[in-house]
Amino acid sequence: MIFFICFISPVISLSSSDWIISWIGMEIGMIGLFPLLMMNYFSSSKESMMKYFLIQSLASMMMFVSGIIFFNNLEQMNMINYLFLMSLSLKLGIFPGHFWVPSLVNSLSWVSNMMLLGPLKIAPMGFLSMLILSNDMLYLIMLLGIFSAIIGSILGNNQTSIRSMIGSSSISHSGWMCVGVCFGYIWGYMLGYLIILTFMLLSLFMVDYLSFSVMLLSLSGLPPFIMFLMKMKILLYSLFSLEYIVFFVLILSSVISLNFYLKFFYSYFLTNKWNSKFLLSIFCLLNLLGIAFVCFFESKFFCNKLLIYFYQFSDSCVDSFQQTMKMLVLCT
Amino acid sequence: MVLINSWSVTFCTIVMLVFISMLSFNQYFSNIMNYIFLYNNVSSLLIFLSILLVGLCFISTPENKKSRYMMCLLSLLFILVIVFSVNNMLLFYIFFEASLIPTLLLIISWGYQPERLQAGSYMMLYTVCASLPLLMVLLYWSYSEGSFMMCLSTMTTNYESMNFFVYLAFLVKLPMYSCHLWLPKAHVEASLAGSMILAGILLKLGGYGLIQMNYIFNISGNKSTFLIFIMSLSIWGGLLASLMCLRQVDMKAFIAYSSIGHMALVIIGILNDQVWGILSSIITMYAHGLCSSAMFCIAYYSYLKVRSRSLMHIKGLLQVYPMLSFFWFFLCSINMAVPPTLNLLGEMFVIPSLWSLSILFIFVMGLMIFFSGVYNMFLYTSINHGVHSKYILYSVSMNSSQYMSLIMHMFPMILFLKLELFFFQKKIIVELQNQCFSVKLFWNEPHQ
Repeated sequence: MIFFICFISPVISLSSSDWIISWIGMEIGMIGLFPLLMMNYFSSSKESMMKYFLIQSLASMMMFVSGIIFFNNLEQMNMINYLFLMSLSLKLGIFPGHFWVPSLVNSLSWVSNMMLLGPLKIAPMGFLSMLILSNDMLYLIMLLGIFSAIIGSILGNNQTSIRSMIGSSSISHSGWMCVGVCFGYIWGYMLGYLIILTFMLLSLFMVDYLSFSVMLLSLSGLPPFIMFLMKMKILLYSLFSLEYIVFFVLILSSVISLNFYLKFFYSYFLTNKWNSKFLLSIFCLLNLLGIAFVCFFESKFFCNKLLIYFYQFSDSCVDSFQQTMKMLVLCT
Repeated sequence: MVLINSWSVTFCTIVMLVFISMLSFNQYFSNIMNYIFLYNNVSSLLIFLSILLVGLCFISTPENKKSRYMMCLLSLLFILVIVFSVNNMLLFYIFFEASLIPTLLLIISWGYQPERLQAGSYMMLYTVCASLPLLMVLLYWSYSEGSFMMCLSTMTTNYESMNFFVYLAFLVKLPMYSCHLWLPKAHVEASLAGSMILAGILLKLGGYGLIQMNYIFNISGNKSTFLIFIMSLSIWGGLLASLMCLRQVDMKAFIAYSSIGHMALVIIGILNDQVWGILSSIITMYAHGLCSSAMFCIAYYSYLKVRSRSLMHIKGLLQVYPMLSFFWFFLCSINMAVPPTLNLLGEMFVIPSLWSLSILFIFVMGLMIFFSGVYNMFLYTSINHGVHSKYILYSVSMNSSQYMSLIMHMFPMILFLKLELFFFQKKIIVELQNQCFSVKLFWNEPHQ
């Protein structure tokens, strides 16, 4: 039931045409997470639940107040936009409001981490992609994305526990998603990240360290794995928009974060707990499908300028979801 | 997976593959170009080299028959064969990077000291950091050119910074002096197979990449200040690396620095884009791939007799293991390029193309050749001559697999009798390029 609530919340908030219902969907997800936080056996989980509750309710309040003004007055007020962005950054754990993520993730069980870092980020990302109404907001969100990519990778180098490492890597990946919001391919990236994160935590839960280490390498975005493809798509789109600075900073962040991914990869790869489950090793192999994806499905990479036009066309198809949602919300 | 569990089946397959890959030396028979594969004589040589060296890794470490080990080597072989024959630049980049992961696994799983983790991180961070800007250039290039195919390349890069990013990835991989710190570390910490593969093929991947990028981006046609700078840096760096050899005490670090010195010749031959230069760099890549791999082998065999790699502890092998010291003599002479070997041809052929640049390069090059003779003689005498060290253990002589491995390393050097294999057949490639270009014009016409 609780899992159901957590999964239904992004569905409610993305499919409703009224912004208050989407907000309510987000809140339902937050409330559905509390029992999961309570159920685990860490003594620190009560404290972390309080921390999560306070921060998230502050963010929801800010979002409600700024949302009323934002959605009812169609004329743009900068302060309100910034307030809305601030509340989203608290919700998502990106740059100005990222401080709660590593400490909270450190004291939770794998399943609640899976909920917290995965499905509960979908609805705020949808709101974030709605915020891009002007060039200023686009650059602001891009800037926040860049900063959180860098800060997540620096934070990850300071961590010694695997949980807080996952937390900081999620800050960094949310930064990549923000850049994706600005230039396209957010939902593809989100899908890849969710799949990898879910199977990573599942393999930790089932003590299958071989699969876990492969998933870690995949999360770092090294080439033969599928997250490389997602990262490359985001870089490609930012290049199409001629944003070279974004490209450099994102590359820098992925190099910095490679260091800690490798560190944790060593310690998990060199253990002897290799009782690899059949199911998980299948997913491990699926992870390698990045190359096959390029070879067979992305055949536009092989061909000519003609296909680049198709490419840009399909780009707009991918983001049509986002645009439809924006239009729907604006109509109400 | 069932087949991979059997060592003998895997080994027999690789021996067959070596002979099959020899077939592709006949270029009139096997010049392939399609959407995914582009295949020229450099790639056929390097594919032959990589299959041969993976087979030799199997011969040299007969005690390790775990399926994980074989899986690592075979996946590395798969990646290398693809990267040497692929036409799509994105796939080239992906497999170029992917070759790092089996290498990393070879280093961290079968190395000896705990420092191997740090060495693995060094290798990954250096190469990934240098090659991500290359990804940017490739994406930008494909965006403006409309295709990822290598043979469609008609664009000249006008930006110096772009040239820098294109070359940087491969210069770190080769490595050029000043980007080389990861290589001695990785060699010192890797196990035998890791070192053999790393010195034998992965460095040549950088050279192959430089050749490809040279004619994709048409960079080297203009002798810009940047190119002159890189060339002089590489040749002075080669001299410095030869000097650095003389103060190493670890045998493996010694061989690693000597290969940095040899790779300087490859860089300068390719960047100064002339027929002699490219010929010399291809010959050097091939000969050095076999020679350095054999030197790592024999260093490991000497290590087995003494249980130390330090030049202080491993003296006077000639009294105790005469066959081992015979092979040391042979390999050191090949490495210092004595007359009938391929290495000599490589070093000789680079001189005319250097001469066309400046006489100063010849001066530095002469010093480098001199010091390469010096350090090889130093290595040979300090290991084999003198009173034998008290650390040498009682042991049997070399066994047949070790003889087999060393002789099979030297045997392919016989290709110096068939030198036309090493000419980079630019003419064929240019013809193919023209054909492709006409196709491309046909495609683009409706949109212009």
